[in-house]
Amino acid sequence: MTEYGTKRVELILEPVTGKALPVYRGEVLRMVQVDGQQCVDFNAYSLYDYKEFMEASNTRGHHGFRPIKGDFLWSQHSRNRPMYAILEMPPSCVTDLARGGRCKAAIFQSMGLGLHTNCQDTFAEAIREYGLSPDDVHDSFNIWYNTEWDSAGQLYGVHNTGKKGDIVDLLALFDTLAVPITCGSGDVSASSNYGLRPIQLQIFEASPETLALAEQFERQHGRFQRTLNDLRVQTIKADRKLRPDPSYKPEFLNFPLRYRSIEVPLSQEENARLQALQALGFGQTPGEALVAGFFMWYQHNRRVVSLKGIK
Amino acid sequence: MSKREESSTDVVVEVRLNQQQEVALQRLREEGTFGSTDAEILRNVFREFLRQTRF
Repeated sequence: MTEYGTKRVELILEPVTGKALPVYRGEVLRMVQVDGQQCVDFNAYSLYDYKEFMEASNTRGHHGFRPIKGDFLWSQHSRNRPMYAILEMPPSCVTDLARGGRCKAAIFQSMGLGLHTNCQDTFAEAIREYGLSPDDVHDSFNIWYNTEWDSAGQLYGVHNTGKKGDIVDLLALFDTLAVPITCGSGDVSASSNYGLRPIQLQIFEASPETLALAEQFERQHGRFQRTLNDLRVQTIKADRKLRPDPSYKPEFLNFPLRYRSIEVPLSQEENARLQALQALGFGQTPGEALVAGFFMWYQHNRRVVSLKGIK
Repeated sequence: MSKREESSTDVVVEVRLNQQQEVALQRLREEGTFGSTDAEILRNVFREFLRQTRF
């Protein structure tokens, strides 16, 4: 197991509450099941640019619907930085990135339950400490949240498998604001097995080992990140109304596309197999089918670096 | 001439690549593993694709 630094934060996240906590590069945020069965929702932002945040969809794109030990939590597509490495996560901690992000008040109002605790409002209250608004809450990484989906794509929560004493450790790869909250829907849903329970939080300072890991991951993925300096628009829009910029001239990447024709000789046998490929729908012409085969090979054989985790 | 280039040619297929797709071709040209001309690289990679798959 990786050796962490000194513990600098220890607190109990009471049911239906959350806490925004700076977690610096090389530090580890630990979440512990005090009694078991409690779903935790998680948001995170860059500590120096709240417009960079942990994005469920980008993380899902890298690791699928259920990140596990060894995977990363990534910032949004426009930046694409690994924010945290999941250093510890037991099999009893089922995670979820497939569902609609987080529960909200309207769900419970529609059930006739009045104004019930919910993750949207808990997140909003936690990040208010840093001047962020309810609109800044983003889709959650759902930890200890067991879900299933059917063949029609319908998602639903099922029995929480979290056990007392389960720990999840997230290694921060740059300075972040981490926002873990206890899910507020659990007393009327399966998300926390019809109860609301506390979660223990700890933060461990960086150690030589955790800093080395952070550096290793940065080397691995640094080439494919984008910083604020890479963005054409860098200021945060201050007003709410949208109106077109009269001086705007589109400059889409690599537009217009320019095509070049190349004649490729094939044997009869190769051509027969090319036609079979085309017949399966890989292209409308033999040339398109050949391009499809070329890039299917390329994707499988020439990826510069795996964007998967540390498993 | 490499062994890859010695096979008979019975059909010519016209392939169109845009400037982004040509980056992959350029990388493989620099590698040198699949030939030196665009046509050689496209053909040899396609052969390799066929070898690796059931098509």
